[in-house]
Amino acid sequence: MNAQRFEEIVSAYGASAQRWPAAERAAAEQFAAQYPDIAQPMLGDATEIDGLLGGYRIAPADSALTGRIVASASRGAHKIVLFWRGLGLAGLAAAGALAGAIMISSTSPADMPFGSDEAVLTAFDNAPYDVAYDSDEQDLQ
Amino acid sequence: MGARDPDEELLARVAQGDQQAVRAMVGAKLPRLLSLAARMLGDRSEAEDVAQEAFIRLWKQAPRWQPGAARFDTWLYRVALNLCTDRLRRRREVTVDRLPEQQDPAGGPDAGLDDCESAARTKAAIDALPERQRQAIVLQYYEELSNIEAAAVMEISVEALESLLARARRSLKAQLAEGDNEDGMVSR
Repeated sequence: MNAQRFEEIVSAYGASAQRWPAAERAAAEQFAAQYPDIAQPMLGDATEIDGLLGGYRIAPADSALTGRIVASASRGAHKIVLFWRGLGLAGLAAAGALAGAIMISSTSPADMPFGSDEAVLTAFDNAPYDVAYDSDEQDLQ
Repeated sequence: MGARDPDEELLARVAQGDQQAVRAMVGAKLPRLLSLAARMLGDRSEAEDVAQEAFIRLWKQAPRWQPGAARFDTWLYRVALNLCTDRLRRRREVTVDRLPEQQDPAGGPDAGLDDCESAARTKAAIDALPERQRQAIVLQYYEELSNIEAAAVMEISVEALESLLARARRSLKAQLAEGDNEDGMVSR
């Protein structure tokens, strides 16, 4: 540590050693103790600026602002949950329709556990009737 | 990357929608974000808007956060500074279209922030600093970031940070001395 570097540190970071770069703090403190004639005028100048800076305080956040910010997290999370829930429902519906279509197309009417066509149509009323039964259309009529 | 990020665990809980963690995060970060934005913008109401916007970004980022990539605090400060920069830019664009107004050091809607004349003068002197010098002094002095952290937030070298800080302090000293001279002339 020399006088030039000490001046650079104090000019940039102020008079409080706590704010000085950690890697140079010990050396700078030692310099100030060893050469008070050089260090004190520099520290005095910086202390004046530090004091003025320290007087400018910001009022803390009020509970209304804090509440709005906490609520914004829930709103964000709610949107995400709704998105995934929506996606999940759509996926479930698509999977159900696919499973239904596969089951209908791979099962002959004779194997059906249902007693009548009416029951099948009720369970899969979205399934296209003519596609599901087109090979057995004559039998059904 | 060295030590483990102290916010990592809290952030993970926020990402899972843990309301207690959300409140803890707001309690830990809001005071610093608000004071940073208030000193950068010199306007309380705008500072509150910036703090809210920064938290909305935080909520969105939490589930996507990659531990180890950067310190969470560095990212959050950078978000807040960028939001302030956007507002300052918009403000400059508006003021260019209007008649230039001289700032009243003691007046304005933020006068309530400060409870004495000297604090109002310091605020006016900080408001008058060039934006990068103001960022440097706000991060290093008021937010108490280390030189390495402040330089990382500003994406500059430590040497460049020191240069900005020294110029900011010289400028503050000159402005405050000028104010003292004017006061002396008025009181005479």
